[in-house]
Amino acid sequence: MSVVETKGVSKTYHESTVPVHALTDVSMKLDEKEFAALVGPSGSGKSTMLNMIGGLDAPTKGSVSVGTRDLAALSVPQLVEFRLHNIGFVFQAFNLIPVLTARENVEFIMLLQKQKKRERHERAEELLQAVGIADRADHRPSQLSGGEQQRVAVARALASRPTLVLADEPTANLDSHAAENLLDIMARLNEEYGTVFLFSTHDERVIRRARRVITLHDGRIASDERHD
Amino acid sequence: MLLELAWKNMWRNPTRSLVIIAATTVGLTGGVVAAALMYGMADQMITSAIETRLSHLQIHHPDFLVEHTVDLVIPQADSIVTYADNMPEVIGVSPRVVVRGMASSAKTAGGINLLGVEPSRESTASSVPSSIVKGGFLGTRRRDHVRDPIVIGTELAEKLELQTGSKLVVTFQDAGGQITGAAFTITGLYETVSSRFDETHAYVRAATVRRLLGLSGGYHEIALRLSDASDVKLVEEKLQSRFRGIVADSWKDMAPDLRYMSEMMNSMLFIFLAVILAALAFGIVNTMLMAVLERTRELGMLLAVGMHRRLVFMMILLETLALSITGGILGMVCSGALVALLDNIGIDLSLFSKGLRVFGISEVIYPSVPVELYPMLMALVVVTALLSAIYPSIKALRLRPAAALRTAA
Repeated sequence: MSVVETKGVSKTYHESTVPVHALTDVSMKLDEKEFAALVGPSGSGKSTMLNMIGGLDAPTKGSVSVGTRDLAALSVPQLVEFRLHNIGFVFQAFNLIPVLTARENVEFIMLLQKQKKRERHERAEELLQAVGIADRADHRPSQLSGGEQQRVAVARALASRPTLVLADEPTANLDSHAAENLLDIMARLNEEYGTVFLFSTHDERVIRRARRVITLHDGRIASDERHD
Repeated sequence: MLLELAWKNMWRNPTRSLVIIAATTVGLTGGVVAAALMYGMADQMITSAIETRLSHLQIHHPDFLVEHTVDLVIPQADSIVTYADNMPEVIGVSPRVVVRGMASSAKTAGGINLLGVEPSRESTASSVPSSIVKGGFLGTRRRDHVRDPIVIGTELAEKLELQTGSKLVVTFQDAGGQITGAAFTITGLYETVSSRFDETHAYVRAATVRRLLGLSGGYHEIALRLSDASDVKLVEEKLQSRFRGIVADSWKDMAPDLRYMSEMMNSMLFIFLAVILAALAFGIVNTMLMAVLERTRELGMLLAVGMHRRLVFMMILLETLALSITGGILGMVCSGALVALLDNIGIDLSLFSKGLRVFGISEVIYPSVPVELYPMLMALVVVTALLSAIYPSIKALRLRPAAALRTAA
């Protein structure tokens, strides 16, 4: 069964006098346990595609389904709730809440889910252990290195036990060692939890580790290769 | 958690938050202290009017205050005095014969209210006998036992260029409508906080003025001092129901200007503080707007990961409230402490004493504010915070997560 399915997705922006076609007729499926990379040059539509799948933006044409839900059928509050419970996000710039500790950042998502305190603590502890940063749990983001911050971001993305994690250029701000380390962690979590990972990336290291590489060019799928 | 997050967010930029907290603290402290000064002045004006002339309650013939004719004496005045003496709420009773007249010296003349009093009783209802600065009050000293003693204010003595021992001629209409008068010997000079009062009121013995007026007895006015000013209504009702043909008026009825001043003080204070808080609101809006704009990407992230817009709205609202209430509480603590200190030591305005005495205000002001001001102030601070939060919160609500995430850090 597909975890993600896009059918004929097009997205046109009308923010200037000339319409910008960011995506044109993109159809694809992501199955369970996929570890996939969305690649392509800048402006090819990678981030737009992630936004469509993540329900952060709506397609001009076509449909996006995550699990059994057609995102277009959801109201804005339902979409927020859907994202909270089904999709994890990892951002290029980490985007942790600077005034909270690593543990509190991970727990924050579960707090939005109204999980009990004990469950939150246990899950946060488990995830921080899983990303190898449990000993830095009480540090604030400013006290962590870039690699450590991104590991906290991965733990946060998995806190809600999502079926899908969308990672926008997750290694772009990391050095080689930190990037490799992060990829190891994400690959292991993909194996252990069965969570689908979809990256948008330019990074060769990510492309090399991905088991599927979807290449976008000028808003269209140029190639879709599996590296199993 | 949201409250904790709001509190932590408030301290992201400590300098900026401290500036706005300091502005709120200083603004409120300044406002409350200025208001306390106004309250203190108003209190002194009222107190001085009560202590010198009005007392808490006065009893008259129903037409006396309108017509001021000397034959309008209070019926059963002696019974009323005896009854009032036995009222537990009353601490002083002074019956008076009141007549308007003209005081003349060799130099000049001026209109006065001549009060014929029982000297020992007057001191229970008025502070004038204890405000003597030269001489004594109507025979309280052996050498003052002259035929027709009179006690006048220093202001009137200065105006008429007289001093103790001088003769003062007072003329007025008697009960028959004829002009009469007498030469009094000034045996005492008093000085109260009101120069206007001191210039227009002179005291003689009741029997003397009654003789000159041709009255066989009676009084025009009975002044009552109460132990607790809030009992005025109760005492007024008791007297009105016990005695017919009299009218009992509280100081508020007799001096409506003072009553309105007392009643308006809360409204004036409310407006005064509202203006200060309105000015502070602009500072709070600016601070919160900067906080929102600086965190556009973070707010975008929160919306993206599943934080509902109403929670984002609440977070901004709580941050604004935390900022304002911190300043508000500090402002109230500082102003409370400062007002308490000034109430204890007083503010010496002796440089302006001449001007202040015209309004019946002493040269040392003791600022004070009613306790109920503080909850009102807190409510004003909360309302200001809520209003200040609207625009920044709307800005945050309007963010589109995808666009917000693309903004630079």
